[in-house]
Amino acid sequence: MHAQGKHKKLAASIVAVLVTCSLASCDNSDVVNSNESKATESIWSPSEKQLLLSLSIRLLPEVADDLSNRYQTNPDAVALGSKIFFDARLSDSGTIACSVCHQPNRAFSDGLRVASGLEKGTRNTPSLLGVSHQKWFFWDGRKDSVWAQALEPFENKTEHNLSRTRLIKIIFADPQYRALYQSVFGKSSGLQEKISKWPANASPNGNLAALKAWKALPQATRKHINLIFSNIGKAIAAYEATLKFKVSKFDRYLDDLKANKASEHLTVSEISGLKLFIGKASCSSCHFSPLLSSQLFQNIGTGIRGKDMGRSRLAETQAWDIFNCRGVFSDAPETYCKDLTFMSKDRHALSGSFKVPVLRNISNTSPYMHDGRFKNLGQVVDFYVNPPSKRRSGNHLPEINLDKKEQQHLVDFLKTL
Amino acid sequence: MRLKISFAPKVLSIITATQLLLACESDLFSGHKHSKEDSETPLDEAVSKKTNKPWEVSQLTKTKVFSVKLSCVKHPYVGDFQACRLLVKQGEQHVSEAAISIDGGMKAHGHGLPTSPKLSGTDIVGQYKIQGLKFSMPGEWILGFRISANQLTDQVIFKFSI
Repeated sequence: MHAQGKHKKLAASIVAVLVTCSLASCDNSDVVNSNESKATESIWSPSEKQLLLSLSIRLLPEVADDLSNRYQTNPDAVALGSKIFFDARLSDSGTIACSVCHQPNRAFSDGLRVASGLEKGTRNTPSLLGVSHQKWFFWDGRKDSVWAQALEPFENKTEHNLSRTRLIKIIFADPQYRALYQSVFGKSSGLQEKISKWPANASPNGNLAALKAWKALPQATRKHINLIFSNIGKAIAAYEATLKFKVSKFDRYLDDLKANKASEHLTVSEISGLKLFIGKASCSSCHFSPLLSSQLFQNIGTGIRGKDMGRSRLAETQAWDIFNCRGVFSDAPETYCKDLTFMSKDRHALSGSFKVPVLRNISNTSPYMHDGRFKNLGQVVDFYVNPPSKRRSGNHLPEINLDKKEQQHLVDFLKTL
Repeated sequence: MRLKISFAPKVLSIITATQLLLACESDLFSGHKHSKEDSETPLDEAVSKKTNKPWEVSQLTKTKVFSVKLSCVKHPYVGDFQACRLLVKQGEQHVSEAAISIDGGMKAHGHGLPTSPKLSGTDIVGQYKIQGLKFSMPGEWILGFRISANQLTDQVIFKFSI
């Protein structure tokens, strides 16, 4: 309590000495005149050009490093993960696979307002394209690796609703799965026999019976089950690391910009939208880098009190997740896990914060926001121009003034990503 | 670690292209880093030099108990952990075994630091290493330290732009 008091005093003092920032001028001359040439050099200043080039997809490596998953680029792990990803047997009803919500023909999202597995969920399904390059997973970032994220839906009663042991038993009953698993993670003598002796349904996250069965297991058995469970996640993550962004119109425009060539890849309206994106619309404050996301958390006023305030509800618990970067099932050295080690756990400061989403491919991943509240990008842009009150929502948004024409330019640009 | 910031005036953050440019020089993506190594243009080099230049600011604490120097390997930038240290002196004496807490944020956006950084002593007397410090976006930032040592407590606040 004493330390908290000190912090409060410090924070209050910080506020007290702040110099009021000067108001930004909102210069409409940023918007490209419709008669202007498309020659890229005439449109962008050197610093704008350099910023724009930093957004190019060409800067992303093929697969991002994830030291917590040593199997991420193992071809057999990819094959195993792919098979699991599309296998609807791995659900209580035998009808729900990962691909039910992450559909390949919908940029690995589902087009629904909120996810629908065995039951209707509460959050919008994110696209999996480029997921291996991201840092936090789920809209509230409650998992810190792709493999740890991939595990949770299996035990979620609204998604696959399987117990941990039942999932493993189904997989190991299949000779193809067994062969792939052994080729990736090695042979273990007597594994089949051990698995056959495990309870049909045991899970720390299941119903009461499954929880009791889990608690009754010796600690070493639980650890063995968790190891196999985490390996299943790592195989899925290996497959998901193969899901890549396509080179967009925007990237092709950046190619021309880099080569100092005139470009036909963006229209005048789209270029105007891009000017706004990195200018007075302030989009690139949070949506930067080739992912067009800071990979951090912000409150933009979409949280709903009493229902879903995002990251705040899990801040304290994430540090204790056995499947996190520092856990025994992670392959990473602890020094790699700085994001976890130093993450903010202040539930008040995090209230209403959600992960800054990747904007790539955004025209194919409607509806938008954590709860899919907006059907189209026009509604999204309108929200930023007319956000909920700061006093009520505590949102982090700057004031954004765009007229209807500018809003349309911005929407046109977003569709090029 | 919550930074309470009031919103009396409506303030629009000024995000210049240059600030964002510096932001995007972060090592958030290894591919970005590799590509820079592979093909640097003269403009890249100019930006890199500016971004990579060591940065330091010095200030007395509020009631002038301590003098504090905040130094970083690079100018503060967005996206990755900062490599910064704090040097604390009382008069001409370096202050060892100080208890130091850190807080910060952006007034224009009404939020604090995106992470929970911590300070720890180093082999150099009076010098403290800041670990886990990140900035989430370009703009005007503040970073404050509350320092307790030798039965005295004081605080200092640095203001800077990313």
